[in-house]
Amino acid sequence: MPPQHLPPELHDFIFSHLRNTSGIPSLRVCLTVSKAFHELVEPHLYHHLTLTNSNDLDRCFEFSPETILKFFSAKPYLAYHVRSLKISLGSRSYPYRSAESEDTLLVATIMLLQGVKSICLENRRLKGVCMPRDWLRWTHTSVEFRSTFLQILKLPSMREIRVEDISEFPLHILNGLTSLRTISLSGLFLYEATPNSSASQLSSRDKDKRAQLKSLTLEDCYSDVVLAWLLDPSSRTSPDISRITHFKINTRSESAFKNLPFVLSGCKSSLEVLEIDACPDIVNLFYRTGERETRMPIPTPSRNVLPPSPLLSRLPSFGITVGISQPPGPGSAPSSRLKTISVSLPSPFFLSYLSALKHLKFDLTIFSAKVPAANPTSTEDFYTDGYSTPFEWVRCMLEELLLPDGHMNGSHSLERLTLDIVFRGDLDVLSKISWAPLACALSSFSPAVPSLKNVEIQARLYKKDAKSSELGEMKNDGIEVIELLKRDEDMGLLIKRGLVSVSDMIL
Amino acid sequence: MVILITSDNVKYVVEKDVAELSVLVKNMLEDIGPSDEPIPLHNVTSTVFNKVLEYCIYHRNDPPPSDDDEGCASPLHKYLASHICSEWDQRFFDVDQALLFDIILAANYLDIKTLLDDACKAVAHLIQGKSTEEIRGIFNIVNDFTPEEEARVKKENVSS
Repeated sequence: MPPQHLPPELHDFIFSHLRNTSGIPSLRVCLTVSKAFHELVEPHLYHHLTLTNSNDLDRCFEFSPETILKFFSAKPYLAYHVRSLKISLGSRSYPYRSAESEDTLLVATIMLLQGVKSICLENRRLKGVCMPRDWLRWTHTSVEFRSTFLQILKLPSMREIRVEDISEFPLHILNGLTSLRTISLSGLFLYEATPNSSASQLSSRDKDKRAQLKSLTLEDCYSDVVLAWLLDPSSRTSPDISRITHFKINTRSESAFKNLPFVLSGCKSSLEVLEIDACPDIVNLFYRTGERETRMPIPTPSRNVLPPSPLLSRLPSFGITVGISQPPGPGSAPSSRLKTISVSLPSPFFLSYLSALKHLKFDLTIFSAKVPAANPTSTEDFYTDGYSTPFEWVRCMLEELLLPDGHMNGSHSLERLTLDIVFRGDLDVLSKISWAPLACALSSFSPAVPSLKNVEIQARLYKKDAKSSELGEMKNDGIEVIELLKRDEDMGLLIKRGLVSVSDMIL
Repeated sequence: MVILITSDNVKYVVEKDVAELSVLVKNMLEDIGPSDEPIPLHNVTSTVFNKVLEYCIYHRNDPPPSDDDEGCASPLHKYLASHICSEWDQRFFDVDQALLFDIILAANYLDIKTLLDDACKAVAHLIQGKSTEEIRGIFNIVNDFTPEEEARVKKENVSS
């Protein structure tokens, strides 16, 4: 029996999934199916637009400003369908080339886009490489580009901004953009504060000038500057974090971890989803495989700075000196062009204060490696197998969620706990890991939180693929890890009892 | 418990939290108040409802779908929204095409956003890599382009 005809709105819905899942080539095929399909599909082709000045274009997804300008000139109505814009700056080697001439077409194209809801400005990365090829400073772009970028940010439709690896991007240009709801930052940022003279308590009218953020992501960034921007008591226009529902932070540095309580206390009544990408250098402890029974950490490597439990309970204070946007005048002392922003919390902050938290996700990594043996008897056994795990850190975090003075003790709200674990290294060594500490932490946490419906471990194993080892690519195979978890004496028991579910992430 | 009756007069007694994954049913329950009166599902047959019910029971404890119309969905929600993660979901949607389309229509009628999302993702997955003719077959669509129009569309498509 032939399938029923679907109404156009459902076709449209299917096409929206195609465009969101790298299905652009298939969308192009759909253009030629029928007139009705053509009409529905064409806007989706330009929903996400990536403009780049780089020469290594990905033909399916990216356009040079020249091509898209020509195309939108012929079909102006399509420019309005662009909702998500990525500007990927890459080919130039600033500041040696003229930014003005390179940016002219880019600027003309951006000016056409009047319905954008989401914008990303990135320093283009080489294919398959994590790091951008060069540092790209905000001030190395042309004045014209900076002015146009600011204009597009002010569109009433604008909801989301992502900035990736643009050095010294001035955060204060985002002040007063009241329609923004989502901010995602990665890289090095700059903040120029307003002079102290305007410092006073915010009135409710001032609140209208601030973006009411719903989602904040801080990736690899120097969080002190971002915090100074978000917490500056004298700023009347920096985004308001008190209504954030989703917060993700990558704790690549100690300061990111140390500053966590400030953001969390700012949104403690609204935060529903907290995702902490826990850097192994900060949270992992190292073990040798032979130490399974004692579970004592090996003498701590110099970069391992796991804080004492409870993790966030130190009395938090924060201070940073930043420049001010309007210096007092010529001849004034250099110190008057600077301002120190200091914030402190009145009392220690505990994770259990997050009264609306529903989903807690930890992104974790487990490594295996060769480490010096504890008692080598000869040069041959100087090294032994070792591994590092974040289990102790997870235990501390979960304990902190249950601290007696916190909200969790009264009205539980947490429904979902996710451990997204990436395994790097030899599966043989990983199979010798003692899972008991994690199993113990999970089994004592679950009964204490009756609202908890789901504790899940998502596993990925990265190991060198023999065929592609020259390229340094890693093979992703979570199924082997899942089998390993199911076989483990301690974790297997929790899985069997249904207290923990395991899955491999299908990418 | 809630009593639901499909278009072919099959009666189902369903737990309330499962039934309320359908916004249509939830609203009807709120309208009629406490009552044992069965709720008719005019546009859904029992064959299709069996599948819908299977999905709702499996996903009853899932967090509610995030509404990112305001552009405020987190990266985590966006990631989860763009992937069918579990093997169970993949097996569930591994059905013949006609039934998959019926599930979409039922999810749309019953207003079950997650099922509609996942089923549409399954169709999107189905048409990836297919030719124009194959896609016409999947959607039961007749080509209404004249040869000249089709050639023009293809030319534009290549040049953009």
